[in-house]
Amino acid sequence: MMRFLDMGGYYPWVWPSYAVTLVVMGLNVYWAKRLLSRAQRTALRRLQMQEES
Amino acid sequence: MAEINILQAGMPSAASERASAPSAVAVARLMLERDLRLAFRKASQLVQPLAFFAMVTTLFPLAITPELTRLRHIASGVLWAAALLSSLLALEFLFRDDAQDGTLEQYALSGRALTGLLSAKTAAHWLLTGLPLALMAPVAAVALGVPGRALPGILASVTLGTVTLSLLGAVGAALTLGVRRAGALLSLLTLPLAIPVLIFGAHATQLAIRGEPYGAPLTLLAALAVFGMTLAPLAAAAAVRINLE
Amino acid sequence: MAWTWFHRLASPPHLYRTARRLTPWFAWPAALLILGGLIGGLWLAPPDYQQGDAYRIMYVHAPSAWLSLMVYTIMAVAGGIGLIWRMKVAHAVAAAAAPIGASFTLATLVTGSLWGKPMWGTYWQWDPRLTSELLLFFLYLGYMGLRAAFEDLQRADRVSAVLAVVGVINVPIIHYSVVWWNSLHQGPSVMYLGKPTMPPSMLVPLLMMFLGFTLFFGAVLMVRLRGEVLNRERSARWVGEEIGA
Repeated sequence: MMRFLDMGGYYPWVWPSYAVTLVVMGLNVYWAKRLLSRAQRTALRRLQMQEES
Repeated sequence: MAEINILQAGMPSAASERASAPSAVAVARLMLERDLRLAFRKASQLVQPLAFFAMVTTLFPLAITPELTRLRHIASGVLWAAALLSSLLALEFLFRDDAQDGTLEQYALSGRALTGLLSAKTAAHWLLTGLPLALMAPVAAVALGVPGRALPGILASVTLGTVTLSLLGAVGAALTLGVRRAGALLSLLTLPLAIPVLIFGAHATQLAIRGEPYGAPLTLLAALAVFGMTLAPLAAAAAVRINLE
Repeated sequence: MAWTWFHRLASPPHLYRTARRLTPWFAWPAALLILGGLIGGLWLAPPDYQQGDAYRIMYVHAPSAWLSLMVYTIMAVAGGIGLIWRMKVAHAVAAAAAPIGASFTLATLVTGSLWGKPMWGTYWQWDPRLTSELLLFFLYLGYMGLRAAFEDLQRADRVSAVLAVVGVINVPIIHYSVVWWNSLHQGPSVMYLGKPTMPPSMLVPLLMMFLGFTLFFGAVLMVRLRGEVLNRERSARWVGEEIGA
């Protein structure tokens, strides 16, 4: 296990690379969900305003 | 100030017949003449990019070293970086006046292609900034310790390179026509597209300074210019039309 | 007749529903493939005889680089379709794709320089592939900056589409000029890609990662696309049926 984590001595570069990529992927998922929920909320608010008027 | 009105000169009134409308070439020529005349009336417009170019090239000896032997090695980079930056200076206003006073809109509404008109404006821009830069570059080169035999090569490469820079600048100016403070955005859009010009131009200059044949990069610069001349006006016309809608 | 699916996708409600239905079909295979690629690439594949374990960075670097280019192309094609056929949903695809592509371009740059440190001894080397990737990142920034500069979504869509088309024509020119530039200065280029004889134990995880990243892009695109479609269709009746409580 230690040998796996050590990555043949290249651990200071291998693991950050994977970490950066995973963070980018996570942010993409988060941003996409946020975009969708915001769009849904504004659309809903517009519809309600149209109904009231 | 008596403006030379392209619309009166170039376009018939609605009542007059279509047949009497001057050709697109004639309109383009009138536009070019008008732009040149307006620029000469305001000499500061002509002088400022040149002064900027001279100023930027002066920064390097002051920042790095006054030794001409060392400056010679970086001269090509200095000249081209300065040329790129100077060509960006006046871009924001390339089409803005004509958009604001309605010239572009009326022309677009007449149903004719905007490409000729925009090409003429781009040509005027090159004559007013690109060509003076090309004439100025050998002078700046001498100040950076470049030997005299390199000057024809520098003149040729900057002349060809600035053609493409003006064309790319026209596309950038057309894209940002509807954006209010477009300066920084315009540079961000235009500079990455100008990288090939920088690479080939700086290399041609470097070869000329070393006294080696520089035909290959010069040909590539010419190819870029021809490519740009065919496509850039189309892209600029599309962008102007969208921004006028 | 064969084109009916295309015309149906052009209708926003149909696209919205299709995107929602497709999301899990992209997301689950993507998750499984990336997980498999991680196990295969980090654990099962043997160390490289030249680069040791450092080459394992390739399993995240190369698929990110692939996405950065693929997404830019998709963006330009979608923008072109939107311009030619005046298709709102095509612009929505371009708008949804841009931030994903930009983020993976950044990931490519960071992982590339992390790979460079053990291989080259420096975090940054002006190697043609990394340099082109950096310029691609600037192109993405320009695209998103231009899009953000317009209040009116329709105008933003169409102007940025023109830029994307201009950009995609320029990407190969920029890339080859950078390669040409690099060949003059003979920088070391020791990156791993394109090695013809990779044993299957190394190759299979890489292919899984390529496919997994592509599907991941698909899944994120589908979610963003729904948001972008909604932003362009707020007042239509189907919106109420779709999200109304």
